[in-house]
Amino acid sequence: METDELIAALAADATPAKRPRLIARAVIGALCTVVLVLVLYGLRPDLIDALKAGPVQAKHFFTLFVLVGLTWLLTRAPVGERANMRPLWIAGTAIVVLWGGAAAMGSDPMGQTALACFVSIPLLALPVIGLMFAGLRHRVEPFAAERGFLTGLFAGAVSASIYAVHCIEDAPAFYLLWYTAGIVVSGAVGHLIGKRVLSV
Amino acid sequence: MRKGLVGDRRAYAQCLSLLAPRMRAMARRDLAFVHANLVEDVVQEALLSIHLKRGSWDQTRPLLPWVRIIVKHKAIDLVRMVRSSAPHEPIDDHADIGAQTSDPLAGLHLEQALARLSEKDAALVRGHAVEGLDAETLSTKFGMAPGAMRVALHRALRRLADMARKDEEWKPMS
Repeated sequence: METDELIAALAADATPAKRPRLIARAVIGALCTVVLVLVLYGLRPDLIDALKAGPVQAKHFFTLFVLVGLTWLLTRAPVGERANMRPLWIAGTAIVVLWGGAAAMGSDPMGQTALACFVSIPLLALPVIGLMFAGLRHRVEPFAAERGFLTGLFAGAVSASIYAVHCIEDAPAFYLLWYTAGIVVSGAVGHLIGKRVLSV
Repeated sequence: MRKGLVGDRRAYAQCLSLLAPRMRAMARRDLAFVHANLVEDVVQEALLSIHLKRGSWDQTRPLLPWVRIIVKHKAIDLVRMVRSSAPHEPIDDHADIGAQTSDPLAGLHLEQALARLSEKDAALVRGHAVEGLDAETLSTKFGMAPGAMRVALHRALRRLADMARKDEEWKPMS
């Protein structure tokens, strides 16, 4: 086809432009996760009292810190350039070191609900992942796998932050290991989806 | 482009046709000389992508850098696709490329071709072309007037050429 014909055909296309609307999609996805946690899991029974305790606050601060960090990474990368992944490696190393320290100080890494936590976080991340990728498809994403990975991690962090109000495990060695593992699995899922779904 | 996004089709078409030559220049710069044939494909792929993803262009930013990114990565994608669909071929597997194109056994064909002519014609042609006799010797040898002999020789050669041409068409491509 001649390029001029293509231009005429494109100009004649009446379908409206699709907007990514990533923030709206992320918020809706997070709300879905909130509803899922409330309906399927329920809050931890002692939530109000627990939130007064330092270790519990530390757990919520941890997930929120990861969430804010990933949001910052995602929004900062300009279109068409690779995201700066160095903060990710630094944070990963810090988590490993902290976990080692916590485990050495006698914090219990296995808890009672390790498997439930490890499986739930990626599953609860799915609404956010689905909605975010639906939006990202309308964007120009040259580094599809990398963007998918970051988006998956972000969705995992959202999911972990919300799941934390259900989870009764407050040992640092537990949540540093299993929450992080859940987030990383979610990132791997995002990586795979991104490679297939996103493009220039 | 901004007008195009709110539904002004004429402005949109004008914008795309203004972009196309610039994109062509970008694509030409991105593609190595061996892939110069892909320039128009890159432009068209990029136009399509611009159209599909026009909603994600940040209108507070200039348009061309955004277009530049799309063209660049479409060029990379297409080159990658061409490379993977046409893998490296070792030249050793194609020893016949660049080999002598004239058939060394063409002399054999001459006798075969002559055998297809009538006996008299064959003798005439053989006498003229293979043995190199001159016109007088030929005409005395065949007992023909020089004029008639020339006509007969001419016709025989014409027939020979026709048959050779037909053979050429039949020959399978090697």
